[in-house]
Parts: sequence; C-alpha cells; structure tokens
Amino acid sequence: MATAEQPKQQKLRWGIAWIYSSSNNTIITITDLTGAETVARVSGGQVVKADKDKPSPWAAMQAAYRAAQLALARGINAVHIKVRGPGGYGMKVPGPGASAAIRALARAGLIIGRIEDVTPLPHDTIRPPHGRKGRRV
Amino acid sequence: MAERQQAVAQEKVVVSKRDTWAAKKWYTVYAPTYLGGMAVAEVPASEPQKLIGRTLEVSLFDLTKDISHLPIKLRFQINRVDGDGARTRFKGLELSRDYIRSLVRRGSSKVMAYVDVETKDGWRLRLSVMGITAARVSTSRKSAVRKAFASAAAQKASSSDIGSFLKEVLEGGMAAELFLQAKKIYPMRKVEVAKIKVLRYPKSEEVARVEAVAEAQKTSTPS
Repeated sequence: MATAEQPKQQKLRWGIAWIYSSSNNTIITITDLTGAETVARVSGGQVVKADKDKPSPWAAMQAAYRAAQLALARGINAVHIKVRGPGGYGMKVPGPGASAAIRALARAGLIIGRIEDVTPLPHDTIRPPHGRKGRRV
Repeated sequence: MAERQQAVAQEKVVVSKRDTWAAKKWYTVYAPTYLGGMAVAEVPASEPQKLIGRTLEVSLFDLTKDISHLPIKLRFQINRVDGDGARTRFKGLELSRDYIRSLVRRGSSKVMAYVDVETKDGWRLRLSVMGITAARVSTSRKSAVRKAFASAAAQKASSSDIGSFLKEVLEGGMAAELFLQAKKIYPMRKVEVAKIKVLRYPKSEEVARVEAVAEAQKTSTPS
C-alpha cells in the first residue's frame, strides 16, 4: 500500500477524489473524508473548447491536474479514489477519462490510497428512457 | 514527493479572491470508544456545530493495519465535538464491492440472510449475512441456512453489548460461529457479515446526541 512507503516526517491529510467518468465528460471532485466539504471540482468541459473533447483522456488529465493543485493548496495531500461510470441503465464501467485522471492525480504529487469502483448498479434494472420504441432520431 | 507537491501547489492556483476555505479549521475525528477511540481522520469545518451529523467511511485496515481487513468499511457519524476533537458513533459496516465480487463465482450459490438483532445494551442492528456455498444448493437448503444464520446471529447479539459484538464481527469470531451453524446443513466456502445498519440507537446514545447539538448551538451563537 502507498501509505506504508511514505516517509515519516510528512503528515498526511486524506481526502476523497470522486471521479465520474462517462462517455460525455469527466468530472473530478475532491472532498474531505466526510464528503461534506468540497475542496476542488473540475470537469473536462472546463479545460477544452470543443464539446467532443470533453470525455477525452487529455481533458481528464488536465482537469485532474487542476483539481490536484487546488487540493494541495488547501492542505489535502493524499486521496482515496472513488471512480464511477454512469451506471443505472447506462455504462456500467468508467469511461475513457477515468484512468487518465487517476494517473494525473498521482503525477501531480497526491498520494493515492485505496481505489474503489462506486458505479451505482441496480440489482435488477431500471427502465431506460424513450419508452418501448426507443429513441427515434 | 513532498517537493513535487509544493511545486504543484505553488503554480498559479486559481483560488477565488474571497476564499472561505482559509477560515476553516481542521478537527481530528476519533473512532468510537468501543472501537478503540483512535484518531481516524482530519476534517475541516467553519463552525464546530456543522460537524455534527457528518458521516465518514474508514477502512478497518486504518484502525488495525491488518491487510486482510482492507475490504471492511466502517461508517462513523460525528455526534459530539469538544475542542479540536470530534467524537463519533458507529453507523454501519459494509464490505467493499470488489471483495464480494471476488467471492461470488459460477457453480456455487450466494445465500443472503437479513437479520434484525438487538444487543444487550439496546442497539437495534440489521445484519446482512452472506454465505457462499461450496456448490449450488436447492432453495430449501438455502432457506434452512438462512434460518440457521438468523438464530445464531440473534443469540450472539442478545448476549453481548455493542462493543464486544462489533469486536466479534470485526475479528471474524461471528463469521466463524455462523460458518459452523451453516456447515451442519451444507458445506460452505465462506461466510461473512456483509453489512450492518444501525436501525435504532439506545436511549442513552440519543440523549447524548441531543445534548451535544444543543450545546454546540449555544456556543456558536453567543448572544
């Protein structure tokens, strides 16, 4: 575990990095351990110009780097990571930005603790939108 | 690593001018006394009273430093703040999803039993007990296993207070006991307490919480 390898003199202040990664965007929210205080919230859409680039790994990287900057400036230097995809009737796995975001957080100097998948999975399934005949475009 | 962190933090950080963050104070959160009472986290807040009612999730690994405890997640709720320290009470337990997924396999059944129990000192808990059988079992055997789980869990709970009960669950004594009971009916591969919810706290716990809230409100609005 990363926690065991750290030098003793550095005091760790843990937070949680929530990474929501869909096929349309990546949103990174860094909070304290209770989740009540948001330290940083950055999305892929804030760092790119074209909408089609929002879910890209590059946008996720930039967003994660910016979030890490804010977190470090506010005194959080270690994070547990909770990744999720859209879930529900949508994708059950995190999107293209997730792994890039995690790597960028680590590269920015944040210490990474546990990584967990928290995609909301229904035990059965909810009914997808657009009714029985589907989306007619 | 530390130098890297400083370098990253000092690059043009886009913190807004009227940043309320600087005014926030960090409080140390302690585990409940019946679980050792050690410091588990640091949490920021602008006022101590705002801490009350927040919950946080801690891995049992953080308390025991035992690698096999990593998938067990505990929830604590802050119910009292004194000075820089925040005291918590036990709110729930859950196994991490990847651990459960690693147990469930094809060709063997998962038996879930949901049992409401009451401890000697008045905590009402809902346990979900998960048993993984060695091979696929029929429904009748499944329900027999559930019944065995329910009676064993209720008996264990009613004879112990919350501290010793949780200790039993966390150290695996509870799972071992449930395993023994279930084994009489069908060979089991693994039995775990997968989840605990607190349905009702004992009266003393509730009274303490109400008092703490009232006190926090009094101290934060001195007028």
